[in-house]
Amino acid sequence: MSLPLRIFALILVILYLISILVLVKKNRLLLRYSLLWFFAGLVMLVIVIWPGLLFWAAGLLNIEVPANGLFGICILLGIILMISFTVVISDFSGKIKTLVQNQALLEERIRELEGRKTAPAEAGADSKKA
Amino acid sequence: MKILIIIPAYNEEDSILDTVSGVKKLHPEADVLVINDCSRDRTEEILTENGIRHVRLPVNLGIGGAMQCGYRYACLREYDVAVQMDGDGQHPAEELDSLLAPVLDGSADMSIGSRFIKGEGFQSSAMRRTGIRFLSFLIRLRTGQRILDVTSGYRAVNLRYAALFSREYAQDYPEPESLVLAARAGARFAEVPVQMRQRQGGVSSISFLRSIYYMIKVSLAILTCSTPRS
Repeated sequence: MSLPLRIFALILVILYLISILVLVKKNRLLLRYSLLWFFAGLVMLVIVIWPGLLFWAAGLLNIEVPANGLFGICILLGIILMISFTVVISDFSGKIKTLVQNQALLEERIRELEGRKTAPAEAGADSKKA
Repeated sequence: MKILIIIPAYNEEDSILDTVSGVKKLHPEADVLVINDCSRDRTEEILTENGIRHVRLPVNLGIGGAMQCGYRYACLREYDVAVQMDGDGQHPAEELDSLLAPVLDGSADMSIGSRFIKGEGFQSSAMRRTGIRFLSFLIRLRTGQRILDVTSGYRAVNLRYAALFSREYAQDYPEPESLVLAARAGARFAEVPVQMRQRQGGVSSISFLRSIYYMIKVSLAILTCSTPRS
């Protein structure tokens, strides 16, 4: 890898890490979800600084073109990220469902109580707890 | 015994009033609760104008989230029995007595209204019946329980299992999965013959194109359903 290319890549990776830091700082990205992106940036940084590492690892796994090893790592990382997104989305959808139900149950309760206030004669009809 | 009849409704303006008044006429002792799952038609107005008790979901949750909301209501107000009944007129109120009987006398925790025991009334298409038979087989494999009409949405549970469903209930196509859930929590089942009618209004939530997804999703759900936390 030529020196100008490495310097260019290094600048890109540093910009990438800074933008994630800024997003976290501005509260646009939660720290807990930024960790995976920091990890991805770290992997990039290591490869830019020691590209020999990539060639060594590719040789170890008998990958003929080291770039293919790089693509493999990228795809794997992408899959891990997407799975973690769907985990987060599933968690959210469960929480949203519970919130929606809570809100609706409370709203029904308010309607019931307000109805009881204006028309106390009907109050007995809907609650047989006594 | 306090009985709550939960009727989930999504765009049921044509049939909801008939369904509710039919139940109220035959069972004045029971409370009726309609869950309006964010209908876009006049369902909400009809419920309000007629003073029908209902919960108004602010966003559409689907049948599972709507029914679970009903179970949560039943637990909050400590009903002894919670019944699920469709709002589209498929489930006749005349069959409520036989559906409720096993739960009321304590011989079962969950009672399922079944089209297939006597084979009377609306039987659905041959393809659906084949699908249902397959799901029934899977549930038998998984739980050892022999239930024929596993997709029936006409069912009654006691408070203990209403509480279970208020904690855990699938979001879409929940009926077969909830049987596995209840079975693994140790429920005793009763399957009661009922005659169902063809829907009065509305469209089935399971369109023809979705049936493949339905079968895959429900089969996986049955096979992966874990024992509920107590």
